[in-house]
Amino acid sequence: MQNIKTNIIFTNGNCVGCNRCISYCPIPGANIAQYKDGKNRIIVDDKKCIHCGNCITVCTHSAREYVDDTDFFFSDIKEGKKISLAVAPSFYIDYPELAPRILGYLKSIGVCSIFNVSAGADIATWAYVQYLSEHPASGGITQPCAALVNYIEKQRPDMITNLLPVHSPLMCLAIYVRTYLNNTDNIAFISPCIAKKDEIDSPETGNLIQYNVTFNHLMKKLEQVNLSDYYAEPDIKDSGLGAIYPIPGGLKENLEHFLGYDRLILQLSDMENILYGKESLSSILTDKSNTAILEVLQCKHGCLLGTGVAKNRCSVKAILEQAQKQRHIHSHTNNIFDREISRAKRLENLAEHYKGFDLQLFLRTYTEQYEQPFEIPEDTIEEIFLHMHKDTPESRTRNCQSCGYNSCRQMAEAIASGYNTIQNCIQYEKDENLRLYTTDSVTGLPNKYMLHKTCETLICEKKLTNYSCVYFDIKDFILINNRIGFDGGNKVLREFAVKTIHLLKPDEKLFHIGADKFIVILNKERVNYFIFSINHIQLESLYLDDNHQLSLSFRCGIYNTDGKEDDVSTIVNRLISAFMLTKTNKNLDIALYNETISANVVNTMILSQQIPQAISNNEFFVVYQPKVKLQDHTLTGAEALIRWNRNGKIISPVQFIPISETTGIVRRLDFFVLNHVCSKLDQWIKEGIEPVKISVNFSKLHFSQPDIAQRICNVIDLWQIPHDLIEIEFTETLYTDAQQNLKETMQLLKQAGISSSIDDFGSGYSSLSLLQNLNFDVLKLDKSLIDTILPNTQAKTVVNNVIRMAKDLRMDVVAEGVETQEAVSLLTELKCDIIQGFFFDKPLPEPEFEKRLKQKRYPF
Amino acid sequence: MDYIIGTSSNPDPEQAVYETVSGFKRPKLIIFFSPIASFSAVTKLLSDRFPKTTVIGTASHYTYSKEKVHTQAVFAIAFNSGIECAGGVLEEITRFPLKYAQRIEDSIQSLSDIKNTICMEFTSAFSMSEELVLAAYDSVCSKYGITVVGGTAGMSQEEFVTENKTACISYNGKVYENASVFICLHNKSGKIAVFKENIFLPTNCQFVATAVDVKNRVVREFNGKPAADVLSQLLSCTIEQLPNQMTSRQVGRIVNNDIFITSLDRVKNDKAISWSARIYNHTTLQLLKPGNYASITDETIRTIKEAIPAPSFVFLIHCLGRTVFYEQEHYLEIFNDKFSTAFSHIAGYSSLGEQLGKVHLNQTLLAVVFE
Repeated sequence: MQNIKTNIIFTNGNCVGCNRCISYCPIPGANIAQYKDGKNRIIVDDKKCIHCGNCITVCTHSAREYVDDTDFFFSDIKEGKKISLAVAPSFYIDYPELAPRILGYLKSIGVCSIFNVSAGADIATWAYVQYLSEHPASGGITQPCAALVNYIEKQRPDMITNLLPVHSPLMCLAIYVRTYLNNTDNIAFISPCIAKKDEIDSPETGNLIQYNVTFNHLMKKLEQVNLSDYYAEPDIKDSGLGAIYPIPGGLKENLEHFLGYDRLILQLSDMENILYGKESLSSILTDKSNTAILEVLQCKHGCLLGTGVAKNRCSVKAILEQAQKQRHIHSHTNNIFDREISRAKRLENLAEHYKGFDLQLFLRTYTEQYEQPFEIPEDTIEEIFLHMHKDTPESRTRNCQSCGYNSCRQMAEAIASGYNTIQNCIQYEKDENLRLYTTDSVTGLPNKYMLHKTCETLICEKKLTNYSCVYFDIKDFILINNRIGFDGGNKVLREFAVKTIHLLKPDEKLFHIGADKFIVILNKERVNYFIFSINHIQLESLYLDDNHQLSLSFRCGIYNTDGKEDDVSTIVNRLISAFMLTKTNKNLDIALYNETISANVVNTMILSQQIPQAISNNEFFVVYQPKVKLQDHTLTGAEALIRWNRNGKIISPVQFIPISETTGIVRRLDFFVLNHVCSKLDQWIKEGIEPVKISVNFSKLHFSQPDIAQRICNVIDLWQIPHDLIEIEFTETLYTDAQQNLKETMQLLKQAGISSSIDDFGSGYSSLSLLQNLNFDVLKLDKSLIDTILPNTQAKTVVNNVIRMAKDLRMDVVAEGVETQEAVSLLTELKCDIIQGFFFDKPLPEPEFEKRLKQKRYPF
Repeated sequence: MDYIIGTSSNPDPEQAVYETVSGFKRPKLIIFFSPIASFSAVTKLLSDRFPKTTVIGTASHYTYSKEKVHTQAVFAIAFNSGIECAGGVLEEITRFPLKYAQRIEDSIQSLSDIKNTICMEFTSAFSMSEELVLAAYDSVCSKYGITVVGGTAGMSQEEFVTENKTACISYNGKVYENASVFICLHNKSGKIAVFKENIFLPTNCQFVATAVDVKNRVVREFNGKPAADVLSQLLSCTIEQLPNQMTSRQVGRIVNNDIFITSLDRVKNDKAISWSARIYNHTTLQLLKPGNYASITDETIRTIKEAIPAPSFVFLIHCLGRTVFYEQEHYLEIFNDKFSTAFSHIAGYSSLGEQLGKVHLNQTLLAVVFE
């Protein structure tokens, strides 16, 4: 449903969704809360709205407006249509000085006649008196208030028969003008009321009035007009008390003038309290023998300050004083309303005054427009309560009314009916925020925050010693994400979480601390069972369409608490220490925390913090491991390897490379090596030393970046090094981790003339598809393969076939880690191209490598 | 209970009524079904022929008898004795059927005994008001412990897919388009029990209706996304294919292990979906798949026989959607045969919605069994 201006009352852009309009609206569903893009906004269902204007009055954001016929009126006047005015008597009270000037101006622009509706009020009084004398047993509600009529027609079918059938003063005037004066002009009602539009448009009022021009919009329209030169008196006005109809009690006073005080006539304003809440009125109305007459008005000050009156432009006090003055004037009128004559005489005069008037013309009917509401089934309410996180009787009776409804139950019904949203419940939003704060959004498991809270509680209650903590993640989860996408990966996590929870006892807790990482606190004796069980969980979400099934395996760090831990961070740090050991050691899936691990972790942490500084201090340097052609034992290339000189002590790459991969700083180290190699090549070329191709290792971390090939080229081009002097080495595991990015990077490098090699082939999950799918130039056999080849062994057969296959794929084969003559002989026999290893040379510092460059051939 | 069933496939309404009622004497109540085209004529002919009999009827294409499944036939059940009945009409059902609740009250009050009594109703189709109607019936019947059972008027599948279709109901010679007619029926010879059968089973696919036009039974969004997108994704089909896909895959709400189905009416241009039974905002729905309907029929018959070993009459209200599905599966006659073989007398019709208690649902069989 849109916020459209064709509604009489509509919501403008100022709405902030504060729900105040809902609070003050007497009609269920007339205000519809819409939640879009994180914003709440309340729009109006015009079909349900009774146009009582409550929402306009109470809105503190000026977000509710209304439309009337002011613009049509002025445009039709301009077009020359014949239009007369029916002026509400309150216009003269609200604007005592301006009213005749405004009317004078309107006459000057084309208005034909001016009728004061107070004349219609006199007729209405006559009609009431006549009707009640013809129907002495009748009682009920008088109906000058259009919002009241709307309310009863739309909401209270039981009260329709209580509406007295006499037309409003406006319609009485219109009938009189049309029928008795034969006036055929269009008539514009200068109106204090938004809801009068409904009366005007109602089939029961016969299209007698054409425009509802509210004071508010009329005054806005005339803001720029100088009215001082204009003046007009009405062509028809009342003969008595009609002018006080807009004052609360005005109709009552009129009727009492003729009917006396024997008949109970009540004046009740503030319709909300009278009709919506109080049972007492219903009992008056449902009592068939009751002849009470009720003057019921929606607005507190009646039509004096109706919904179409600009309250900010009027002084309530001045208006009420003016109204009193009006009452005083009319109290002393020397006519049928003269208070000095007897009631019998008054009635006689009244009958004489309206002699020849046909009562039937001034009576009307009403149309029941009530729509039976849907009875929301209890199971629906129950479900909505659960969606709202209201799962206890207490939470369902909070009744904070922030949503605009009186009770949580009403809100649930409004949600079910589609005219409110769950997000408009402030308690839901609070609970939802708390839930988001304490649970993981993917699995719904308690998160890191709750882990801390739980541990704190266990520490306080000294119960921690009963438990072990296990920090675990899913191995190669990135591969699962690559295969089935992130949504699929999330499904796996959710299903895994649900199934894992079922493994736990009531006192054990599982936490999802992010990505594929979990921590479980469980009874010490159940750790083995738990780890075994999660490794055997079957997940439906891991079944693929091609009948292939992925499986899960885990890396676990375990910490058995000793009860001496006094803060949560100690526990978590120790867990992480154990877990990190499994990360850095591929052959270790489960690690139990102990003091040694702790020391290692401390060392690791220190090293990881020192690396960035070491780069700045030029503590890293490059050595070159020669590659030798087997055919003639000549130097054909070298692998650049990084080394770290820390205060004169060489730190093994085995120590700092895994750390640098964990922290990501390896990316800087790789480029450091590439840049250094290029600078040396540049230097050698300039010095006339014939260089060889140097290979540089690149970590898998680079391949999450789409521009890596371009960045490599940029460095090489910066030194203007021929591209064929550089080779980029990729590790085999990289292939499985980031296949797509790697493939694209290799293609780009190849296009740039930079060769690439697959390092450590045979060390991990070698696959033939690896050779088939990625177009490497060089295959480097891992040392572990070379170490095992002996004559007549299966390893020899494997190596032989790999070499043959690589050659068929036009790849050069480099054997790494060759240390013995026996291995050299076998590799020669197997037609391996190049050898790298201690048999020829260890990694050489630059000066020694320069010598080797100058003397290319090995003597043995 | 003494009753007689008559039917005729004669296309001439006058002849059809003549043939149908040839064995009728002075029935207390006639419940009849007639094709849409001849419904007004049949209504008038029957009420003229039996002015002192309560005659209640609904349009329908399919009717069920011991012999076979009839199509486009005039079909009537005349209750001669063994029952007491009183009925009436709830009018203005799209707006305020509750206004006529006193008529239900008056009917019940006129019965000498309300034990073994049901309130059977037929409601005009496409009013989208069955839930309002049921609320009106329930407001009275629940006070007396009387079960409300009934169906929406029926038609053929060909008629169903046309625009501006109507399917009326009638009471004592007057045809209504926006009304529900009812008969409070007391069985003097024993119990009356109602059995509900559902052939669809839940799947793991569930979704929450998050933007609903409750009055017009339109769901704009499931899980915050356009409704048609969500369903077509679940069924791996295009939005255009959804209506066809949904003839064998239904959507339902599971409450206390019971499934309440709502059938897809049509997919709108804005990817909203209109349904044949009301869906409330923020309720969870499940995608359903057909179960083994043949064995479910057997199970239903077994259950009925266990509860009422010697029924004198079984009245079936069978969803049109299911009827068409059974026809496609060549199971409709088998289904009818199974009931015919199991029970001495059956009758029934295919409806555009079934009503039981306070619930309006689709794709369901209701069996009203008279002892």
